[in-house]
Amino acid sequence: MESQQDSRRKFLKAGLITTAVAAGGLGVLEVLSQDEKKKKGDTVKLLSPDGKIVEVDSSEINPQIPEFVVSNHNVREGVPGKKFVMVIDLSKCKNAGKCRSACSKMHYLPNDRSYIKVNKMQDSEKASPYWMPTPCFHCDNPPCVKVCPVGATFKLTDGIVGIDNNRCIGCRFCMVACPYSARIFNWDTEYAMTQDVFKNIKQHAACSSHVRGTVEKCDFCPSKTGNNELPDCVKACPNGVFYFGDENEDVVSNGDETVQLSQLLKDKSGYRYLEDLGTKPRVYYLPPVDRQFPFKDAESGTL
Amino acid sequence: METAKIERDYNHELLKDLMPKKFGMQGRLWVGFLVAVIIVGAFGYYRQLKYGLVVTDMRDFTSWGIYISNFVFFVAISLVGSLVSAILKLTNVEWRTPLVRISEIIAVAAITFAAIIIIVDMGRPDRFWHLFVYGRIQSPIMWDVIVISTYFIISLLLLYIPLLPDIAICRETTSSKWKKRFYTILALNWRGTKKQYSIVNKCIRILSVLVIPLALAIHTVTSWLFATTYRAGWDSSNFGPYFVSGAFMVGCAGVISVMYVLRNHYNLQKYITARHFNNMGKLLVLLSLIYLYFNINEYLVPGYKMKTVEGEQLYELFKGRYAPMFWSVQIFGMILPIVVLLFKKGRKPLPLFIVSLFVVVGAWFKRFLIVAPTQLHPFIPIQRVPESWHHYIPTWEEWMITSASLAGALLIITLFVRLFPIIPIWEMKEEQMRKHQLAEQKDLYEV
Amino acid sequence: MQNKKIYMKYNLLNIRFLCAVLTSCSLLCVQHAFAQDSSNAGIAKLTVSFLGKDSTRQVMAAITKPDGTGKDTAVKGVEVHFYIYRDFGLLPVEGDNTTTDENGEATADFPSDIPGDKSGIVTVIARVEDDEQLGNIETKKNIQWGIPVNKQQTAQPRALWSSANNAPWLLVITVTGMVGVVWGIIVYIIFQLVAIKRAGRYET
Repeated sequence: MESQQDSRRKFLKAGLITTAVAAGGLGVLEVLSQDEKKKKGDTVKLLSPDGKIVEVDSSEINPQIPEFVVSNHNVREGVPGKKFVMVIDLSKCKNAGKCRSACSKMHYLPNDRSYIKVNKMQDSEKASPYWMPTPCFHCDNPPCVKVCPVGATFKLTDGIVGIDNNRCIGCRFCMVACPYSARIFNWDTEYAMTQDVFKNIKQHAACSSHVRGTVEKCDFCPSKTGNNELPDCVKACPNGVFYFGDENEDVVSNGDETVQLSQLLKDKSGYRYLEDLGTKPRVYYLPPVDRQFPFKDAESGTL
Repeated sequence: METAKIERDYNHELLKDLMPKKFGMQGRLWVGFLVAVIIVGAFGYYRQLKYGLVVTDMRDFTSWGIYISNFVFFVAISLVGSLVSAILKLTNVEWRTPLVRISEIIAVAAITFAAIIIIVDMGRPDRFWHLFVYGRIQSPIMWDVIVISTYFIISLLLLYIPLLPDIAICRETTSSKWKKRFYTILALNWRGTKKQYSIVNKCIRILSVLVIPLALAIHTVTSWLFATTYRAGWDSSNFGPYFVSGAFMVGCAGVISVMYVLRNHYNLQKYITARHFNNMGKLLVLLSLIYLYFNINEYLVPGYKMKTVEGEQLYELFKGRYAPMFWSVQIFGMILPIVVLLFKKGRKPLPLFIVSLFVVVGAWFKRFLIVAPTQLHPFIPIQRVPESWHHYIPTWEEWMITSASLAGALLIITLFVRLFPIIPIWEMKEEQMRKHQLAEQKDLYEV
Repeated sequence: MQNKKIYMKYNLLNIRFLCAVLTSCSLLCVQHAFAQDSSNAGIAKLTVSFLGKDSTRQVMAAITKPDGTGKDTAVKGVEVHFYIYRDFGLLPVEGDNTTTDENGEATADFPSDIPGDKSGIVTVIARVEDDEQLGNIETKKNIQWGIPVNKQQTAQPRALWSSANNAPWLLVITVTGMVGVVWGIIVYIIFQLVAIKRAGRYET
């Protein structure tokens, strides 16, 4: 009797322990498979969007960039097999300004500065004004890349025109060469400390980073797009103005809709800004026709 | 024996007149003033290094400012070396002899400070070496670096080689020990032998031919820094000859200004005569007429069309914000010289000097008008920026640094005049000997 | 006797505790299984096939459900969504008959100009989304109906916008030639300066 109880007790104990371990193990696996390695306890100084210096746990900053973007190929070559392209639908832009604020936030810029501009345009006196967002167009015949004396700006095979802020000598020739006013300059030391932030998250070489005395611009967010994610301006737009995708797979998406690029440009008569300059931009515009809303001069969004 | 004695006689007079003299009160004040300007400019540059280019008024839309227009101005003035030393030599213009060294030292000083002001304009001057390690041959800036450094070496050689006999004279006649050492090293064992003279003459001939295409190249390539962009007012195929003709004009005016000051200060009226002023005045008129021709091409042709952004920029120059500056520059810097100098009375030393000053100052502001207004008219309108970004008004740091560079160039010229004869003694001696021989031969025949 | 009672109670407690733990674990696992294998949950089956060729290509989806007698019957009136898999999103494929008919079949018109990988293979996805009875079902299948695209990394051409090593030949030759000639002359002149110095060495 005793021995039987003993053995039963032993068996039950063993079974209990095994089940507990199994359940616990399953749970741990669930948790681990969701999160990637994070540096716990490291804090990093950041420039917050309203211009203040804050200390943030480094695990809360942008997610890790997959290794292939940084190490497996020459970073001046680009993501293999892709040719990024953007389409901006001018009939939907209401100057919400969310693209600008998302870009400022993503790139640690002060909130009155971003790599994308939204301008009020009017093509002729009798035509209606419209809002036109202009990021860098990442031209295929880029005047800025041609004139750089030290190769600090370069064209990648995936279409992106990148900037190496460690090589730029600050001559600003690329800024006057760009007919689209896409580039901005780091005139003072305000952003210098964010260089540490960028070192910590191992930026793609084509990413614009902040180094005093060098040029910066929209970089099509290589850390996102190299990972098949949409750039921040595309995701942030509440009106679905921006479409981003890969010309090689003939598809662009604005986060909600995914459409075939060639069809979109044919149906809606896509064009490129100042096409006759011969710069071959990679950003297409869809004309501001059939608008659902009238043009409002006042700014409706923040910033 | 006879010829040697005459030589020594001529030499004496030449030496007395042309050897460098110590600075008097005026000279010291002048040098002190230049040094003061340079010190203030250096402080301005220190502030720029410390705080970044934000201390200037350059911003994202006007990213090139008076540093660049000053650079263009310096490159323009430096073309005068080739004009007087080479072009006038190869066309056998005899009266150019006293002016050769003045124009060469202006050229060397100007091109030196062109390089310096470009480094001042860079956002990261500590990365200057990137140009040599990572340089891209496709970039017009690389072409500019190549031609400017080549032109600098050639101008320096064109200044130094004809200077050798005069350095030797300085070496013989100086009393100070340090100076003697200085002159001895530079003189390269000059003994005045036939062989040495023949080498010098050969080198001068080669360099004179070489420097002309190079001078045309530096200013053409500098103009391409603007013409290879799409900007309104810069996207012009006329820029090369437009800039080169302007450069020759301002260089000529620069030489006239310097020669007037030196002539009066050092009493060189016997060597730089009214005839020189007359001839330089005629040359200036010719160059101004050529420049007027290119100006008409540059403004009338796009003005006839008034294309969108280009039209707005031209309107600003002709009638708008920059109209006072534009018309002052065109009238006082170009039309006035042509009108005044067409008359013989206008080519007398003093009026010619005043007109040349107008030309030089007008040329500086003309380069500003080429660089700044265009950038305020990009294709994409300037919106949502601070109000100050709609103008470009240089800050005191920019003015002081620019003034310091001008003062530096003048200081180089001043120090050169202090150390070396500004009028080539041996070439003047040769000329006088030739005239004496001709006079003797004439006497013989008439007897 | 008392010990035995306590012992039994203890055992019962153990058993109850054990049962509770086991049940919660299995619930977790089952939920997991349901979440991952919803297409084969034993309720309905979705198959994809391809018909037609060239400009009349179509994707067809068939939904069948076991009717309890071992046979599968067609499910009618279910909206099927067709997509082509793309890196930046799912490209919807439209058609007139995307709701299943009496045979349980729905079709969509496959676009003729869609790029595939280098052999022209594209992945088509058919989905039933949020149906009241069937829930979510998804099936993927590859078909070689795409335009073959060679996504090879092309080397930079010789151009003005290329890197420093890929400048146009004409530019490289012209600049090197001119610089070579001019600097050659400069070097010659400097040698002449040396000659001047040497020529004066033994004179007084």
